[in-house]
Amino acid sequence: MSYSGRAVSITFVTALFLYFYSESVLRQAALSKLKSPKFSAETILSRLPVAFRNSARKSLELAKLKDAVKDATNDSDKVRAIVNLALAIDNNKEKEKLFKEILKLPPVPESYPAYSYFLLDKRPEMAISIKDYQKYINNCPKVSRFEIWNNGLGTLESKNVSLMQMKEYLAPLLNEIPPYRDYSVLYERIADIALKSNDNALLEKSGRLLEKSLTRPPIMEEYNKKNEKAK
Amino acid sequence: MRDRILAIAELTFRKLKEPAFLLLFIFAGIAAYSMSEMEALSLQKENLILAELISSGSGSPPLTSFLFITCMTLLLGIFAGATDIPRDIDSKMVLILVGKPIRRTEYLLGKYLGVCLMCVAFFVIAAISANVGHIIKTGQLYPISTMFRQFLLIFSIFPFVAMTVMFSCFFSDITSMIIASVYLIFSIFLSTIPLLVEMLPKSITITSYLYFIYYTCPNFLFYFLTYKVIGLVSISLIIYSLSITVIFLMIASLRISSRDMLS
Repeated sequence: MSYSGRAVSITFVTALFLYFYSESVLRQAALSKLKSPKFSAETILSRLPVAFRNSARKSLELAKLKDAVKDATNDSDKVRAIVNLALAIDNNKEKEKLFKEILKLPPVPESYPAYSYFLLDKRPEMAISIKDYQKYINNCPKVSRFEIWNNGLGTLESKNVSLMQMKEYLAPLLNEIPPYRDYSVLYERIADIALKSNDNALLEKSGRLLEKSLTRPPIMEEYNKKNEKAK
Repeated sequence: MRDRILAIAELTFRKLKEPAFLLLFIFAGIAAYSMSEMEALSLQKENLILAELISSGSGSPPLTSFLFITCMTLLLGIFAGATDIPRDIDSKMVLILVGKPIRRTEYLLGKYLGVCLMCVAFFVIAAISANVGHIIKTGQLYPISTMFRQFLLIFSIFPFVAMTVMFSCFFSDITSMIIASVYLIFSIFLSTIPLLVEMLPKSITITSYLYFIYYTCPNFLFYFLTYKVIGLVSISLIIYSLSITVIFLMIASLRISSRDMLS
């Protein structure tokens, strides 16, 4: 390369470097003024035509949820963020992929939508057995268990499983004292199953536990106490 | 080399004697005088992001009268910068000039300097007129920092003229005027990209594409922000202007060096 050619190249590269560097300083100086919370993606959305607004809002929400997954600092936060993202996504394949990702993480109470999703799945390699689901429930804190029981029950009902499988699923509830009033719904369901299968012993036991559950405090009370303590 | 560039610049600057340019100078002087009492540039609409960007921050804001002067100067920059080289080529004047021991790059730099001088003269005359108007109406000078801040707007002229001169090396006079104007409007729109990206969630993957498009145009919004006259931002603004100018002029130089001057 000739002397002038080299000089031109060096000048051009230097100019480019100075351009990018000075631009980044100026950009940061300009953007530092926009820290006010009133300027957000919502500000942009509100200025869009109505026709675009809804689809743009959905995309923005998904992007924010993806950000939350990236920004999560612990397993519990990460699982919660992935669950929120999975529930917001319409594409079933994507949703399933996210739920699989949750199963790879240590089980936390927030993981229940993923466990529930794969409960007795038709594909054996992905299915979570009733026993595994119950084991997962037992590893969760008491205050979170009702939601997980109820969600699993909903999944089994939507899959139209047999009465035997329903009995198997709810069986552990017969061996424990109902911790909260909310459990009455589950005992009512056991009573229904007992009636359908003419199982008088089960009907009697579920009736007793149902009565007992109605004397217990509601879960919300427990949550409120926890919140007050935290304050 | 320097003498040759200055000679071409002087030749270009002499065009100011033309009646059209003189009329434009007189108009700018009168308009700047009558607008001298306008306040600091601020867009009053509530919740407008650009208003927040331009008005907020500590330091000196640009004045509305100087925004007007800058716009008029840039208009002159389009007229002079986009037409000079194509007209020299059309009239074969360029053959006489580059036939002498003047290299094409020297001719280009001379033309660029000449147009810049015209624009700076225009800006200074209008600015003096605005200052005189202010003194007559209020009996006071603008604060020194405000004055300096307004004169920093001059730096928007250099990349702008370089850009118009670059287009004039590729196209005919009218075409390059139109392209320079469109490019200016386009770059004003693109200057909002960093604001948009800042507000979007990080997961939106179009960010890198948006920045790629953004970097193809100078961000003229930077010249109208409020900031301290002596500080990193001012220095960066000067470096920014000069670096873009060099880039545009180098592209122009590459083009004019390979261009057939007879066509």
